[in-house]
Amino acid sequence: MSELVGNVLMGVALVFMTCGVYGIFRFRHFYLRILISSKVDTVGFITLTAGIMVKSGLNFFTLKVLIIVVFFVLTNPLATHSIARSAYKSQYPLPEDDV
Amino acid sequence: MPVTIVFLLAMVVLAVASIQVRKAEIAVIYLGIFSLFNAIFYLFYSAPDLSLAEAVIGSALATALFLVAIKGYTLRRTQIKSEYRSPKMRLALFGELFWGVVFLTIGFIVISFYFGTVQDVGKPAWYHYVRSFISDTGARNAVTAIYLNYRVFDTLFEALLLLVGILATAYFLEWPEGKEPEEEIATKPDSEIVARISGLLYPFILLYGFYIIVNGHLTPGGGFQGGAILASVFIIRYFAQRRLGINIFILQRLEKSFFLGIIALSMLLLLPEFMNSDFKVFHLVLMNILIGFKVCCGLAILFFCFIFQQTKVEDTKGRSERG
Repeated sequence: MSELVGNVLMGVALVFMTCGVYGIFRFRHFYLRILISSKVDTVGFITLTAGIMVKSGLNFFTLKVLIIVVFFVLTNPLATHSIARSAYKSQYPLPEDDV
Repeated sequence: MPVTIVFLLAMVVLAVASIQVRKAEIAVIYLGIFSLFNAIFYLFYSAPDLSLAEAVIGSALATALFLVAIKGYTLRRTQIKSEYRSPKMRLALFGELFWGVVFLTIGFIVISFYFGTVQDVGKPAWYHYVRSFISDTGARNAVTAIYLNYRVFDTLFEALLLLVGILATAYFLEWPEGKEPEEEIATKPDSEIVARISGLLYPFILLYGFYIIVNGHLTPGGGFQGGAILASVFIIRYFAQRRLGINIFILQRLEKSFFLGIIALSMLLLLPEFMNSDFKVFHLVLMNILIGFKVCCGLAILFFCFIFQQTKVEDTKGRSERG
């Protein structure tokens, strides 16, 4: 049962990542793209690791994966934030219309 | 193995891309990704020690150093650009390229002669080390056994090379006499969020660095790799909070005294009656700790020298614009 749930979660993660990669090519502007790439990393990665954790059950390996997830949740939005912030501070132009 | 071929191809593509791209900053980013792939590639050939060193130094420290250096350099770039376009300069560049190709060809010919005459004698040294390193040195990691016991005097000179390189960099980048460098560099933190979150992350990075150093004789890693990880804490701290928090002269003095400690400890290997099996392991751990702290101090000094030079260039530019 847990194996099935884990596989389904990993499949959902792949769907998220595919949508994200499509979005990176779909949007033309820097700020929109950086938003999308952050989504791919954060949402896709968290779902994938949740799948791995459910699949392997409760053991030491799961704890290690959990620590990696906590580290990732802290650092990845931070990296996106600092990239977007430095682009804004060095006066990279904002998009004119919505797309 | 097809996976290694994919990684090799990606490395070739990244290397060519880093040469071909116009902006120096983007080339540095490509080089960083190149060393990350390189680190993964070392793992396939079961060299996790090298892989760790490459990942920390190649893709984190070297990238940061290059970016800082380029930031200082681009402020003066317009002057150099006009020199670059003159026909005399172009001729000189063409000449350099020509001689480069000639020397490369000669080198290949010489190397091909060498490979024609080399003779296969088997691997006696390899067998000796792999069979007896556990009983000889007490280490579980053969790499550590070699660089801290069998060939410890090579390691001394390697550490000396790093020390001399850092001293030379600090000398040529001219610290102002009598001034506290800490005062010069301190400015406001750049982003509150980055400062807070990285403050939360330091303990984990420090813990990881110490783990790598102390377990250097049991698992992949050791003094050099762990020291580089510890130095990256200083760099993250600077980028997050815009202050050093430590005096560089003290760091320099610390590095030299750690090096003296390494020399004194390695001399103990010349007294075989002193080295019983318990003391051997203790000796390995102590050597790794000293080397780790020394490398950490050295890399931090190198980084702060570059940062200081860059802020000095920005200062003079600001003054000339105002005046």
